[in-house]
Amino acid sequence: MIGVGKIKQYTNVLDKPLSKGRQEVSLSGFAYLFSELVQYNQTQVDNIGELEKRLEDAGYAVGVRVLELLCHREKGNRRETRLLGILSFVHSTVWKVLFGKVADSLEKGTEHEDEYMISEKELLVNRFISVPKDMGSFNCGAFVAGVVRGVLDNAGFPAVVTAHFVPVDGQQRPRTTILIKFAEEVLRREARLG
Amino acid sequence: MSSTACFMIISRNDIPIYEAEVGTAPKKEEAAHQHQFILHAALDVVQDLAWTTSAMFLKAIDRFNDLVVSVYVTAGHILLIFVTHTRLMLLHDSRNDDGIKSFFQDVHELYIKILLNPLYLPGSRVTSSHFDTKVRALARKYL
Amino acid sequence: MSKTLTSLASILLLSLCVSAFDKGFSSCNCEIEGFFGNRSNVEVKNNTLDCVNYPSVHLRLLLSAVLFPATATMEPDVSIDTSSIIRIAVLPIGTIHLHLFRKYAGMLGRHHKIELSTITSFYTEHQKSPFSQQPWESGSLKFKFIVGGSPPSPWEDFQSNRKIHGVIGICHCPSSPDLDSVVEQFAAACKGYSSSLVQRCFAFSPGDTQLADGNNKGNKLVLFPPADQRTQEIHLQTMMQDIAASLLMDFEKWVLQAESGGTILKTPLDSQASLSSEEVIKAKKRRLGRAQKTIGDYCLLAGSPVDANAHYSTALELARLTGDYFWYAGALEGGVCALLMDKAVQRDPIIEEEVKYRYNSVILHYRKSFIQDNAQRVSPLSFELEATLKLARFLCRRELAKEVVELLTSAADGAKSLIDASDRLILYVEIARLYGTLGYHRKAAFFSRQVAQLYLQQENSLAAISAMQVLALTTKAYRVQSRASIPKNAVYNDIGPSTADGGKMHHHLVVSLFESQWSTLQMVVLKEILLSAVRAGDPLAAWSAAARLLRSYYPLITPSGQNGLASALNNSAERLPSGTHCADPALPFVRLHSFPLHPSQMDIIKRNHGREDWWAGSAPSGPFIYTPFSKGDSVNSSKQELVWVVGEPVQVLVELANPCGFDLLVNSIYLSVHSGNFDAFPISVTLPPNSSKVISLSGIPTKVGPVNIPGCLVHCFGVITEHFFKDVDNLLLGAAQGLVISDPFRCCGSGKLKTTTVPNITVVPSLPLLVSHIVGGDGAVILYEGEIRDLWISVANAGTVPVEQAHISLSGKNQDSVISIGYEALKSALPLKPGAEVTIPVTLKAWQLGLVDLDNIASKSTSVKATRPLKDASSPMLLIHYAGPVENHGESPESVNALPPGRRLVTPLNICVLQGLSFVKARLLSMEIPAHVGEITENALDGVSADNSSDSSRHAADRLVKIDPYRGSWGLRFLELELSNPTNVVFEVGVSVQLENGSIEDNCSEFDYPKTRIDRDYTARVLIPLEHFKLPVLDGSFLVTNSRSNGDGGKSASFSEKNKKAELNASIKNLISKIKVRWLSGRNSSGELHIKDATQAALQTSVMDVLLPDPLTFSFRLVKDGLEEVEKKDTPSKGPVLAHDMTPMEVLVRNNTKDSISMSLSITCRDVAGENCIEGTNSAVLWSGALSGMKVDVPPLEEIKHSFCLYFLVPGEYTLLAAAVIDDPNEILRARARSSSPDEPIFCRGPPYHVRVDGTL
Repeated sequence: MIGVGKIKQYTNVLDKPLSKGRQEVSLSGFAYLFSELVQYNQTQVDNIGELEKRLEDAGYAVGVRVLELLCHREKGNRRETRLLGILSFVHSTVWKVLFGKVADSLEKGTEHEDEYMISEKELLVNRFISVPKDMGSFNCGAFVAGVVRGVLDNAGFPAVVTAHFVPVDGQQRPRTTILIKFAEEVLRREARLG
Repeated sequence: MSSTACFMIISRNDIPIYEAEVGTAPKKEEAAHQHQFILHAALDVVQDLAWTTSAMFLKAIDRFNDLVVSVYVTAGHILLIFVTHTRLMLLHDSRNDDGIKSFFQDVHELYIKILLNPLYLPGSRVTSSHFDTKVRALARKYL
Repeated sequence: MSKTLTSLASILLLSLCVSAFDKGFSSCNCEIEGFFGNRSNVEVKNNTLDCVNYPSVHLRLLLSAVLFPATATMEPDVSIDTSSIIRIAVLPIGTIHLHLFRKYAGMLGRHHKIELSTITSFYTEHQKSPFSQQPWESGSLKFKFIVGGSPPSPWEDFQSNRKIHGVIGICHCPSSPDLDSVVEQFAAACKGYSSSLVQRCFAFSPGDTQLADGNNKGNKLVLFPPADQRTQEIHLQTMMQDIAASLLMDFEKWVLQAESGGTILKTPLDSQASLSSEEVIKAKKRRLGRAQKTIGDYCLLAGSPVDANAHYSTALELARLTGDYFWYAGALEGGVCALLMDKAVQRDPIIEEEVKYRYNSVILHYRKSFIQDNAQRVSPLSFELEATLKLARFLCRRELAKEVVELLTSAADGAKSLIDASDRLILYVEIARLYGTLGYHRKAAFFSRQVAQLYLQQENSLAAISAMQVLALTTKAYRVQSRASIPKNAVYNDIGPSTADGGKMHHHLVVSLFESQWSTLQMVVLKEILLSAVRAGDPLAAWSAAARLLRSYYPLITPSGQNGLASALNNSAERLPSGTHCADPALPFVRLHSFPLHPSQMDIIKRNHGREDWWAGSAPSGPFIYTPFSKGDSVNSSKQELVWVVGEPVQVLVELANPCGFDLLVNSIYLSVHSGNFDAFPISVTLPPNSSKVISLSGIPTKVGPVNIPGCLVHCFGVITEHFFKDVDNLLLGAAQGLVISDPFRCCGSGKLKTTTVPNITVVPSLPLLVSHIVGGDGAVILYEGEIRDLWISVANAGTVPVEQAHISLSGKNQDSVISIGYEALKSALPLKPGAEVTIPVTLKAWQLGLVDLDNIASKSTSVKATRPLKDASSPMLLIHYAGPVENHGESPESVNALPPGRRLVTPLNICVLQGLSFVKARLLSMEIPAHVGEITENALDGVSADNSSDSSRHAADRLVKIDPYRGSWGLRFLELELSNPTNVVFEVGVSVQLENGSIEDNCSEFDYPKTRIDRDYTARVLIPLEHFKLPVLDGSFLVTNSRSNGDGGKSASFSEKNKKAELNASIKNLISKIKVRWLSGRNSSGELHIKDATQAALQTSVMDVLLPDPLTFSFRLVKDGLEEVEKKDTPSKGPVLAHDMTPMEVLVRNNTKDSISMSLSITCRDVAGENCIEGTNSAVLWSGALSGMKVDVPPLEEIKHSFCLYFLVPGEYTLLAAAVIDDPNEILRARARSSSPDEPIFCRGPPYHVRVDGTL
């Protein structure tokens, strides 16, 4: 293999120290990989719903791991037990590590108590993606939604997470909003914890 | 003074994904059973307690006779549960709390490494023999 | 002791059930004390077995028919207000059947609380009541009916509520007629309860005589005249109020004398040793305080908390002064009880705090009162624990879980220092109950298991039964519950919140479905259940436990262990009645393999009202009846439709696996059908160790409607169990996810099978069923290539319903080989009654063998049996779609509206084509036959049809190869067919040609050549003259296209040229189609050779020459002077040519083209030697007229005469030749002459004419 710098070879992954998460990967490389992911899944499904589901699952698997890793690395082994805590964790910590920036906005749903929205003007995964007309409301942000769901679900905040395009006046590209709808058990627990 | 201890990793849906009998005491079958029964029962306490604090290490949350249960709840609500003999705790109480804590932390790190393996399905059993040997080594080191 | 333990099981059972069902405790208070007197033990013991077989709370109660032992200090179900409850023993008097007794006791139980306001009428104040503050309107007396009673407790003095203050006897008059004896027995029974203040004996449903003399038996005996439920209720209530009132009065009496008189109250704590002096003094000092405490107790019992409180507070003072901590704590407890009684409102936080505070000090003081010297005999610890439990029960709410857990944990710590095993038992029971109410089911299960272990510590069946029942309750928490205990609807509803996240829900689903995660615990629990069940003599429970153990955990059990379990199963089965059902399946693992599709003979086609031709489209395309694609999607389609027919057996393939190390004998296995319209046929099978096997289970649908097959019923290890396919599917799912210990089928070496779902099966009313066979030849019809053969297919209706519609179609390869089908034969036979039969004629024409087939033939002919049918893939199939009557005379209403489906009968006509007379090659031969001037025809004849011997054919032959002098090009062309006969029979080949001459009537008349016989393994040639195919006119068109095709002009063919070419091809085709080669084999089968393409190939090159006439045709004739050619023609064979005589002749030149040709004509004459006799040195012929270079013009399609005379000097054979050189020929001529260069002259010559010149006479 082509060694960049000097790569120490470890016999087992357990011997390898956890990465500090400092280094970044090339955006084009990621975009290529992601496009492959989407294309592959496209061959496996026969409607948009399934495609989004598959992307979401792929994201979920990321979310599970990201949660554990970041709580250990970034947050010094503190768990998030409160709703707002975990949300801000997603909004800031997770976003920062995954996309190199804090998410543009984190809002509470106006009409429903249990809805929160994370909005992103230019979601990284959608940067090089334009959805054809015939695919309707399909949004590759489903992957990110999956990540969020993975984090929330495993932190004990089961929720339904979906990605939507929201047109912004003055710009031709809509922004992506990740809608989080928590399960009622979460809200009940929040109420109990006061 | 022989110490017996049972260490388990419990997945989010309360299923053991790793278990090890550590400690210097000679292995006894029914002892192991007893330990597991106690751990299983302790889950009830944990599931409530886990939400009251954001700390991962919950020491001595439950006990039966002279067996004490300590828990380390990871961010993903994976429980590293641990039951030891009180006597051992009583002998060197404070220091050994730290011992258990650091044991938990190191195992946690190991677990994260396992988890980061994309071929590992979260929530399924941890079967890596490396993991096992490392955990036992840590147990010898800290307990 | 054992009895005690057993008794507690019921409490735990009830409580856990209750807590599980989230009922309040009060609801079952009166029920819990379901303890019978000693005398009912007998019945208990012999009831044991069926009790276990039909477990129900009541019968469990009945099981636990024993007394508390005196040793037990702690009591079950204690709560803070226990100390305000009056205990009344309920005893069966005389002979009374259990269930009656239980019924009456139950009636009593409803009156466990009597309002003070209701008893005023019975209450008479004899003297000043000590209960000054009694709340007559709000207060009440609480009762606790101890069914069966209990011996006096040593702590009665300490806690007065432990005394039995009343005794109620219950007797059933019909079963015990003598009331006197009843009274005696009752009196005897009451002896045991010295502390009792009130005794009543309730005698139910007495006879009249008993009523008569019953009334003078004193007030103790109360008769309940037989009446309806309500009146009895009221009667009973009044009785109870009476009892309550008299109790109250007795309490007053007791309190008054207690205040005055000085009785020393002792507890076991106080040393039993002979009272030494200071002991006495101590006791004296403490006496007052204790008295006050006891009075307080009585106040509580009398339902007057305020008085109680007053007394308690004084008691506290005195006790504190005298350091009597034990009683101090007791007084405190009483105080709390009084407080709660006073403040009926329960959940007031302030009160809660108060209670908590006080009780903590209660516990503290109980602990303080621990006395070392008699610790091993008795200790206040049990009271401390009771107090803890009381507090815990008081606080037991989800919100306060933390504190409750702490209390219970500390209580559990106390357990090991308890002296009495039964105390420990009660402690654990209570802890388990409290955890249960707290919703901590795993904790509850844990302590229940502790209880069970205590039970198991002693070796007797009653204890074992209790242990078993307790363990049965823990199974839910440990996820090893028996199917019987799971309500049908709520089998898989414990998936929990994981359903919220869809992606991994699948995963969670698997996890929660598969149970051997805590395998260590689960195995232990199951083993304990097994042990206790065996000990308790409950074979069914033992069986089910062993089954669960074996099925779920076989990978973790050593082979010997597996054998042990197997034998355990068999042993317990021996003790069960045969045909016992068990909810928990054991082995083998059963999974659905596949539903074999209908045999092609009887598959079912949906038909719809709309279309008359419902069969259209349903016919399978391609050589297969089921194309692999359709098969494929039939497998993986989630829900596939399947139609079964009433009364026609079907089969289902299932796969069995035995992953264990012993031979598994499945006595019988058959499909379990819940819809009940299916008869399944059981079969028996034996599975060797670690093996799996696919078996086919068959059955017959009996009624119309849907069928659902959830699984199989298996009779194995002597018990019948139902194995659901769903479970195994989930198991395999788990295996796929790596969550399951192992995949039973995989470890048996069975391949991975995608899970097949049970399709929607519908049963339709019985349909007609056609079966077909080919008349005569059973198997393959053996035909030579091109052979034509009729065969008869007989179709019979084997069903029970007449066939009303039928439609025949073909499918598969070589459909064209079926020339005709006797549709009408079938049509006319409709409706085809059941059992009726019809024969359908079918005419076949064997197709040409492809190369592959030829190879087959070759290989076959080398092998012995050359007549074996080839693979049926090549032969066509006859599809008969048929259906019964449209409206079935409905045996079931719902099927009337639905049109019963039709069916398809597929009859493969397996034709075996043998290589017959084989066509080797076709050639085009051309030959020149010289014609005689004069008797042309005759000679010509001899020349051509030399092989023609028959005179009859002469005329025809003449017609065939007549020489038309005007057209007569003698360049005859023959098509030579070379045929070989590889077979072992003789073939006769006849060639026939369709002729059309100008005349209409004999148009397309056939002419048959004489037959040619070809022996086996010989080859023969057949000649077919290709005369008179010539077109009358040399038309340019063909030539143009021809030249085009020659490719000198690269221009793309225009349309006109295209269709000209088409014309050409058409004419070639028709030429070829005119030639037929028929054969007749030695096996008098006849057929025809396919030679079209061969001949076409042969002709292709020279088709021009065959079809097109020459541009010019020449002919000679003699001219007899003075005669017209006309009559000359009539007599063609007349007068020879003489030497030395001037012979006038003329040459006729005909122009066959459409435009006039100018040429230079020349005539030559040659002798036999071929010398030119006209020019040259020795010219033997003199002539007059122009013989060479004469310029003539021939108008189109005309002919010109050129006359000349010849004078032969020498007789002999001469040959006349006419030739012409065409001037400026047009393109057509060039093309015809195939001259490449335009300047090259076009030279035409006529055929040679022979002239015989005779010598002069």
